[in-house]
Amino acid sequence: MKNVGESDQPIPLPNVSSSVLKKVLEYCEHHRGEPLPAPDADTSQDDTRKRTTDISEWDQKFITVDQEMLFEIILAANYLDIKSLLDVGCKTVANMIKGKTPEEIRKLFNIVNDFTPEEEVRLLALPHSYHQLILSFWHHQAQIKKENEWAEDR
Amino acid sequence: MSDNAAEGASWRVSDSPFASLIGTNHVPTRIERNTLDALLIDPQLELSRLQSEMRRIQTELEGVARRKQEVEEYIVAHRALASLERQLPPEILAEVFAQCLPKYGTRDLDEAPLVLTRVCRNWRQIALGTPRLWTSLHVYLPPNLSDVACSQRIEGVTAWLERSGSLPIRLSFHGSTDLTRAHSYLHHVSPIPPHLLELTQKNMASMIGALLRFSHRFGQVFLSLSSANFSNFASVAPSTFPLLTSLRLQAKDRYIESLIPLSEMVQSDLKERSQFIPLLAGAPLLRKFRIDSFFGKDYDSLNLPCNWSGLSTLTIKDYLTTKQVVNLLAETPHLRLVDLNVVLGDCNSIPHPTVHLPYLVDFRLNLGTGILTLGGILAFRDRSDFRPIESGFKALLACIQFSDSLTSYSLSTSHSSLSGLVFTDWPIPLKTPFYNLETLQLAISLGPESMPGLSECLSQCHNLVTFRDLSGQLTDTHYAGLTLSSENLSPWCPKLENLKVSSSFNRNLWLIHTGGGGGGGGEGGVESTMCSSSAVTEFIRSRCWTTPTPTTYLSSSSSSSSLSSHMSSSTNSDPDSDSTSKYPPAPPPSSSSDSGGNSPLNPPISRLKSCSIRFPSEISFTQTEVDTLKSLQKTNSINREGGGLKLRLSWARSTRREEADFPDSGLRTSDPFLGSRAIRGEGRRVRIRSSNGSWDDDEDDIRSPFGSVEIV
Repeated sequence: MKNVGESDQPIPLPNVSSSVLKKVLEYCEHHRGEPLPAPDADTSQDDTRKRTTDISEWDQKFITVDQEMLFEIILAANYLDIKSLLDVGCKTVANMIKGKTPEEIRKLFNIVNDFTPEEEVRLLALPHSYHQLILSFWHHQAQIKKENEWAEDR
Repeated sequence: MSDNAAEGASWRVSDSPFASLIGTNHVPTRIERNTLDALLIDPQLELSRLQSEMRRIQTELEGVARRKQEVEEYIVAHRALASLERQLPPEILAEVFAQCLPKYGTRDLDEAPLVLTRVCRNWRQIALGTPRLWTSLHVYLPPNLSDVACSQRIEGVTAWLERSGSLPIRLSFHGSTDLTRAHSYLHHVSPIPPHLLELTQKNMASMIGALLRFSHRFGQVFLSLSSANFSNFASVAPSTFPLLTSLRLQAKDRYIESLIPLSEMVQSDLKERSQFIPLLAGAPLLRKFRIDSFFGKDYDSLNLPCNWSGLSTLTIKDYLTTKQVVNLLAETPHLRLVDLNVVLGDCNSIPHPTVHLPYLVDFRLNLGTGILTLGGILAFRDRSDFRPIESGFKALLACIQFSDSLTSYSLSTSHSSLSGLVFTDWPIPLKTPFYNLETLQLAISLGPESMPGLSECLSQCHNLVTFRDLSGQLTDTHYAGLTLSSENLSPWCPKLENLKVSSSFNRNLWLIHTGGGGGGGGEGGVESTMCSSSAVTEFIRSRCWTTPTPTTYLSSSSSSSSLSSHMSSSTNSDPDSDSTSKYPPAPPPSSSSDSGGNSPLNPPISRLKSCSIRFPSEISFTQTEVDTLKSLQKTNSINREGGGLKLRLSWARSTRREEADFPDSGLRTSDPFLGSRAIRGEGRRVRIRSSNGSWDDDEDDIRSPFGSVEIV
């Protein structure tokens, strides 16, 4: 490791269990020699969105683990500063979130709904003046409806 | 009888003194009824006792279940507290949130990023405090939105964009005020009341004003508006867009240009749209520029005040003359992607000055009529009418000089009036650096005389990964060239992974090739095909090897010793393999020089991943060929970690239009905006699907996932 320099001394990794470290090493071994991602790779919005779907076959198989192990890998990747592995982990979690309702997300990640009932009502403001929109014609009606479901949280 | 006695008694019907009468229609006497009453006293007592016992046990069980639930909830609650999900640092959660975003953010409660703000307070805080989640937004403003609704929408859009902090914004703004005008014209109804029209225009002005508050942070902008809206936009826009790198302009009312007299609408609209032009000068960082049928055929795009030399991506869906194309490309030397339409009728064969595109990666050129020429559409009676166009197109292609950076090349003919255009000579100069191409798409019709050119082109495509032949040009000769065999140790396109051949583009071509149009070459009459099922099967078989498991079709009789090192050792386990299959043992000479080429993980001949071939007419695959293909699919599916071979072979009869016999024909008013409904003929199809995945293709009918073998 660059910050440690050459040394025969053991490097303590108190935050990474042996089973997780084994997985991390498996990942590093497979990707050995590959170029590091550019530091500014995340700044491009196009790239960010494109990357969501392009987990390689090997990475997908590698990251198909139980949820606890998935989060352990993410935490270990973050601790060990392995950006590409962290990226794969985050994409996997993002794919688990996509298409789910807030309640389903809470259930998936052991999250308690701590909004007050008043806050929830405010978050779910009702659709506004649909009848006005009926005047509009032909296409885009579904789009209109979707976008007029007041999404804003004021 | 005591309780204990009752417990020990037998209540079996067969032990009853009345056993012989039970189950019959015997009518008991008075004495028998008295005896029955006495007989049932004890069992009734026992029944009560048992019911009481059940209630007790039930109560006890419910108590245990409640206790169990309490313990479970206790454990779950404490485990949740200690769960790893909660230990994710905010910056990682923010990264996860960023990965959830769609291409354009929409103000939809059920989609990221808004759905993330509804999960819990912590997530909400992180989401709202992460500017990059709010840099992308799609805004739609329909006509006739009420004052209140529009104000709310503007408020919401403003709040969204404010959250993006100081980051560049990616904005998609779609709206229209002129739709009302179009609607009244097309449906012959009374014009929209003036106050509604005024309201719509006011709303649009308000929204434009709200968005332009952020114009100094506009990074990527897609405007799809009516002509008048572009005029509004220009009138209040600032003089510069310092961060704008990508701009796409689409005139919303372009759909109705062909239906409303040009004198009424188009000219005035073009004038209004042109008011947007000066704004282009205020985008010094512009790199990507796209316009969709915006200025019309008669406008020379070069007059736009763009920083042409700085552009890396240019897409113009207005139709340009060949001269305009050449002039444009001469001004844009740094292009990496160019996608242009060349207008029919304005091609000329006069040689153009050479244009150098040293950085070009992706070249796409489309030949068409241009929508503004529809009124005076050219009538082509026979093939000779196309000669000037063909030569003009070739002259254009000949003057463009590419470099080794070119990896994608596409030529197409878009309009149906060009369906008779067949290139008698190969149109693409053979000096084009085909060897670095990874993607080649041809949607132009080639005559028999140009087939050698196609062969020469394919023979040079050493790095081609994807080939789409959308006019169904490939013949047996081409498939033979692509097939690895003992007679062909260096097949064309050794890295080919995806092949799509579709004949739906131009049916006339087949008439020419097969003798119907006099072009010669066909043997079996008008509807015979240019390729045979055996050539296709052999090609697929030769390209469907697997590693490291031995393949089914690399025959062990092969004489070359280098076979195993090149494409893995093999044994013939395919029951359908026959002695006539001669698959080569040796690597292509061009690839064997690669030091890593012998590794099974880096084979010089790539394995076919997807193959979709649509034949122009029915083609007979023998049962053996179908079985062979199924076997290949199975082998590839088993030996690969996901993916597998996606294979579709089909033929279909031509489509019929809406004039067909629908139950509601004559009753329903056709909507000119929805297009006519096409009915697919009852085409027969051999479809072999394999493994998981879907076609990376724009045809809906083959986008469905693959999970089983299916022959239709």
